[in-house]
Amino acid sequence: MTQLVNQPLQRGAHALVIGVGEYPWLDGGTQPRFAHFEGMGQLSSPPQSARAFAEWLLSPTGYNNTACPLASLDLLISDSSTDQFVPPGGTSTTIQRARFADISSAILNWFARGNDADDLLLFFYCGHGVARGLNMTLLPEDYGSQQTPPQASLTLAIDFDGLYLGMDSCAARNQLFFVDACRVASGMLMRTINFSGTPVIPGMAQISSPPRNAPIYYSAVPGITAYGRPGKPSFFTGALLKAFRGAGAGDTSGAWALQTDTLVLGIHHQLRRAVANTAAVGQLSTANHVGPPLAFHQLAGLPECPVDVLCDPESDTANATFAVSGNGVQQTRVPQAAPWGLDLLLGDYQFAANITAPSAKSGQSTSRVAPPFRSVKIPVA
Amino acid sequence: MAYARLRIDKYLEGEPLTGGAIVDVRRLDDGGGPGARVKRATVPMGTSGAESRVNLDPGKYEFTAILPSGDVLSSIAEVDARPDGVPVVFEIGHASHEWMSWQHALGNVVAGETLDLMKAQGAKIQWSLVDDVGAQWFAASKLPDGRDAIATALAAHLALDPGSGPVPIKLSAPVQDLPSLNEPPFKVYQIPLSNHFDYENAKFVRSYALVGDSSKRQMLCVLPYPWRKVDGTEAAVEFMVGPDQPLDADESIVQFDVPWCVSTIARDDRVASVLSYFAAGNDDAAAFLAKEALYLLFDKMVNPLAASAGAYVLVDQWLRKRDTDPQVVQWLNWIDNLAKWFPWLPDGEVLRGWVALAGRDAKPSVETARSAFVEAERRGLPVYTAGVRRLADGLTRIANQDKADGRDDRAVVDALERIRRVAWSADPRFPFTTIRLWFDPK
Repeated sequence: MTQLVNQPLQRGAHALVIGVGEYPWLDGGTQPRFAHFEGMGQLSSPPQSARAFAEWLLSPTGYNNTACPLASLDLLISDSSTDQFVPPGGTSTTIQRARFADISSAILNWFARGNDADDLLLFFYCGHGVARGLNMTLLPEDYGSQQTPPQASLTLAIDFDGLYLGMDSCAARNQLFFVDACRVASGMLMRTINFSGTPVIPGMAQISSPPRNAPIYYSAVPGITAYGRPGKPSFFTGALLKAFRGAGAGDTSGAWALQTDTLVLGIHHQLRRAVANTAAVGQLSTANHVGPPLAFHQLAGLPECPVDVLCDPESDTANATFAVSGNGVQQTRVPQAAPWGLDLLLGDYQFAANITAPSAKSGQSTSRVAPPFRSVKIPVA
Repeated sequence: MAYARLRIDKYLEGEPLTGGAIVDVRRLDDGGGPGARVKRATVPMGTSGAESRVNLDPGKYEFTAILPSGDVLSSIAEVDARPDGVPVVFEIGHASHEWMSWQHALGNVVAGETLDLMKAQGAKIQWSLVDDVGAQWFAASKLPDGRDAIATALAAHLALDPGSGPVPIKLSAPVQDLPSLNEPPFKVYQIPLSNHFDYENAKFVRSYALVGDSSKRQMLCVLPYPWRKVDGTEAAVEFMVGPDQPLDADESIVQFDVPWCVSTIARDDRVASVLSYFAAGNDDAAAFLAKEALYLLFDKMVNPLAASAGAYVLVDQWLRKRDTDPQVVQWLNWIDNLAKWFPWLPDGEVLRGWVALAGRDAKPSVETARSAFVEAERRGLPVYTAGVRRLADGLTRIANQDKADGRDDRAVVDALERIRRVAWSADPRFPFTTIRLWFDPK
């Protein structure tokens, strides 16, 4: 356990952040390779994703919830390159590794810290994941270390759906889950009967009261790969943190804040843009159990919104020079095939398209930019 | 009072999609700052006759429509007191063919313009991906011992060793080949209208589709058929086969064992969008539309399939809020009716079980939930993917409790084992239950 923050607060946010990149028993690892490694190997992105999420929680410009300030942060990272984490403005700290026993222990402690109904629990996981249909299993560092019989390796895996059910018995009724992992099918899982890993906290029959608000945000729809970027936070984590700057915001609470409902759309649009023209094109995020809007982070200023600029008709986009102005912004882009992707603060802007060849055309549009996303189609004639 | 007339311009083969999408209305001329949203409303999709009226104080407003696909459309208008209202029309483009228009409206396929552009730009798309796909339609009733024939055949099939490769499922029911409408890489199959509704018949015969390719990869689809709309007419039921991943997906993320998928819809102007939002995880929008249609769904129970759809959305919301106002209590009673009046429908019992677990009157009943879940599984495959998930989760909770209490209830254990296999093979992206019948363990 590496608790970077541990403040006794009557009401607070408790975060458990896990990033697993080093898998000694999977392909390319330091230990004898697990026979059923199923194509899985070492990852450099999850440790960076976990660090980036933890930095957002700790940064003075990051997590901001006056009613529910950060009360605890437990960070577990398995990284082959370093076991250190440098918090914003702080000194380097040695971080606990993310082995099964470490994660189980951290989950139980995290559960116990959420002892007030108004506490907010945050769960972030980035690493290997496997799935079958509606179910998902998360793989700690030591997955594959129990090689005989092979299915015993699943005793060192986390049954995420089981854990989710079990978390209903936690006193804290506001819980956010971010799962940044592949959801591809696993032959190992398909062959086992009624066992998808250890839930750590099994769900009991009776649904707890008052009801919990506990959305899950997944980096990928079932059946597909969630992509990392070597040595950098994954596409999903990058998109998530960008959505935190505004695309995932709503104002139903009377102020611009990240809301559990609008965050779904914010992530969707940021991820779609992040993966364009990469190997990850097609990675679609998804969410489950999104309940009534819960504002969990107040924005310090205006929301930053993704905007795609293109021509109407779309076929003219590749030949157009685009310009945008307004609110102190003045930018242009030379012709390219893809729509012009911008991040602009909420407000009104003037957009222009100018085409010189094959035939001269131009057009203008005044548009309002707001969360979660705007597509500005400039009619050209 | 001024008003705006909202519409999403979309030709849907002459039908309107009344509950098409949700639209947020924000007032801009008093600053447009935080909290400026004055209203959430529905906007229909259709041609000129399909409009919704939104009463507003005169002023400048932004109308933002969130489509089931997640796409966002916005329009700014000065709303004044003119007698015939201020038109606000959103454009979403058109499908490649009229017969794809509903699938396009619900976010299952890109617009024709986009598809044409991808062709013109030479996008790396497997245009022939579903060329060898065919579909059959069949009906299946109960076995002589009362078990559901399809659930029984499926349980045997899913228990096969996945290492044996794609093996066709063994069905005893006669099947009928369906013709397809083709626009590579998509195929649409339309089920002939039934012109007959016998939901009240305890021996109601459920319908399914079996989709397969030349490599013996198969998908079993629960068909919501026949589908009666609130006006008493029949909605067309159709399914589209297309690439499993977005058209622009990189080759490396397309998994070798899941090349195509199936999206089933019922062309119901009140329910189709509710289901699309719900399946996409936009529960708030789904609940808003479902509440708008609440009495239409439940009042006369003209279609238990449609009522179940609304009930899943509303129960999901209720489980997170547990309202106790009289209106809510009333539709919770309707869930009991769904379970009792339609003994062929598993979904009513699934919903009844979850309401029991949570406790309608703050009195949870694990025993009521236990019997409801076991009965639901006995009735066969839930019509909705949400039902498969809810049934597996509900039985898991009961089984965990039994384990903690030292109780051995074989009915629960056996039902859980069977429904878990179904859950493991279900495609969660689409509202109607779709089961992948093959798995390549490579």
